[in-house]
Amino acid sequence: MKADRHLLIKIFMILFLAAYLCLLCLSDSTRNLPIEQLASALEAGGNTAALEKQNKAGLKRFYQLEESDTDGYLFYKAASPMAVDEVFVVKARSREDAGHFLELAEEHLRSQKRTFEGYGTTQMGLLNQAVVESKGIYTWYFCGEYADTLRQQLLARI
Amino acid sequence: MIFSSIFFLFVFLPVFLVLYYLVPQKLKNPVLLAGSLVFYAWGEPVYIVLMLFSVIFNYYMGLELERLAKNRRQQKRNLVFTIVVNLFILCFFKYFGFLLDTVNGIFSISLPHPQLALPVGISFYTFKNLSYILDIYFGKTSAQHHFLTFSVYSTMFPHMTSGPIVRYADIREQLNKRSVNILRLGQGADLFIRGLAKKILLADNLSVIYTGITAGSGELSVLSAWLGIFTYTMQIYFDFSGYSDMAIGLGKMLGFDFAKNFDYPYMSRSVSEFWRRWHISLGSWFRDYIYIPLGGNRVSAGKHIRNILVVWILTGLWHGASWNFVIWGLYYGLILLLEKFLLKDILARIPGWLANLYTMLLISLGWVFFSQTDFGAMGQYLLQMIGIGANGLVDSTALYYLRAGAILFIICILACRDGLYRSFRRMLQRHPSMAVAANFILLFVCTAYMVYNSYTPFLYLKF
Repeated sequence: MKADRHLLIKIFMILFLAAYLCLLCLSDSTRNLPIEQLASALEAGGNTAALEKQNKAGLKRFYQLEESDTDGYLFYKAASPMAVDEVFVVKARSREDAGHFLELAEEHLRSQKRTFEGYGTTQMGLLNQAVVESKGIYTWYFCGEYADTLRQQLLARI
Repeated sequence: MIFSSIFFLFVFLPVFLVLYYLVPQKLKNPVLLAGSLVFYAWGEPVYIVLMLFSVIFNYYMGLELERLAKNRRQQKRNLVFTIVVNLFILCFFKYFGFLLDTVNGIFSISLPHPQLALPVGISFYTFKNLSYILDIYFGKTSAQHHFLTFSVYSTMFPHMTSGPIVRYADIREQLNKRSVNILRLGQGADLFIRGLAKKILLADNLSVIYTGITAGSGELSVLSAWLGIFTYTMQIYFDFSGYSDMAIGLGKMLGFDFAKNFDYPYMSRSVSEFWRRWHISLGSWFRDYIYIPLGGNRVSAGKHIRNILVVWILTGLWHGASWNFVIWGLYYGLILLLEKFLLKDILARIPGWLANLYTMLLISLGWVFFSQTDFGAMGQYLLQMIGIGANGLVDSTALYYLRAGAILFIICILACRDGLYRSFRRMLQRHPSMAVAANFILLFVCTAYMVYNSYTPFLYLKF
């Protein structure tokens, strides 16, 4: 009888674990798509074609982020310093990291606004429409004509 | 939450310490448990359930193993069950995707797999709980009957996310009875600030140089490639040993004595010695729970070689679900075999500085395998180090970073040897007030850096 009770407890724990893992797999909050998959989905729309792909130096320069602190990123920026068009998606290793990345992206937007405030009417218009958000372990910053389209495409994936 | 953040330093830690020191002895464990859960849940609310499951499961199975001590067969069956469940959880999150990606790659198929984020600290707390279970099975310790006490051990925030892998047997008594006083608080704070300075002032600044050197198109000069890997070699040491110092310092403030995790590894005279001084808690875990049960060195030469290679491949895999870590582990396995069977006597005869140079050369090469997850980039980097495909012998990038980082490099070389710390300890004994002032200045400078710099988590958090 006692042995049965111990066996039942073990079975219950395993069932609980299985149910929890199933829940995690079905839940959106921990989705972990490789950045390459997201990149190909966003690039397929052609909205990044006119932009310049940035490497880890750009990541450090514009977002003060080390590549090694992320789990991948996608970063396109207009070649001209007078343009504000940007496509930036970064994947964090944890939700806490994603929260910090969001702060950095928000700071980047504030810095862009400070730069163009007072004389860049077009740029300011785009910056005011810019999207800076975070969901799960992903953080993104889209600025430009297609910011909202890119946002929709990304949300559909994650 | 990470130790080197403003929120942890100036909100979480002071509030927690005040509470911890004010409550009576019998309430210290509940406060520590609550603090640890808040610390973990802050960054990983979804995975707190997984961690709590791990605590309950291992607590219960520990009791089961003790209950079945007289029925060795049943006990063994339960041990296997416990290990399988623990490893299943670890593999599910860390290796399942890697395994299926490899199978998909080999057979050109596309088996789907769940895409889940890696729970922070899963490798560390799984290994910690496994050591508890195995120690009970091998009769090295008895099971903890008090659930709260076991929970405190299993979730303790100083070593939960990046180690050291503290064993239950080492702190069993301290879990129930420990003293906290102003002296221990001071010693702990001293260690904590030392770790913080290693991370913020050294590792993070080295990281800027490493990124600067490797951020280009991939074409490096020979000097850039060597400077890059030297910078990474120093960065990973100060980052990880900084975290360990902070964890041990926090433990001291809370009344615990954790064993050291680093013992000036870059002073080693052989790679074997290096691994006795680097991430000591992980090395001793693999030695005690894998290498020795496999027979260690008390078997035939063939089996001895197999044991070493198994341990090192597993050590590599522990660091990450990627083939570069397997190669990194294998690389060390082969070097240790070479040292054991061929180089041992030669290394003992040559001058110390030469043996240290040999060790540092091999260790630095090892970090290339560790830092480059892409095979193409890894091969390119290694070739550039010997001039193949390099952008000349010396370029302006290398000279710029050599000049800009000269003082930092000298400080790093000094700080990874024990002389500097010995001098500081002597000063602490002779002029305690000066040592306190030095710590305050360090803390002040670190805080200024933290306010100014962006977010830089510890490298070992990803494992």
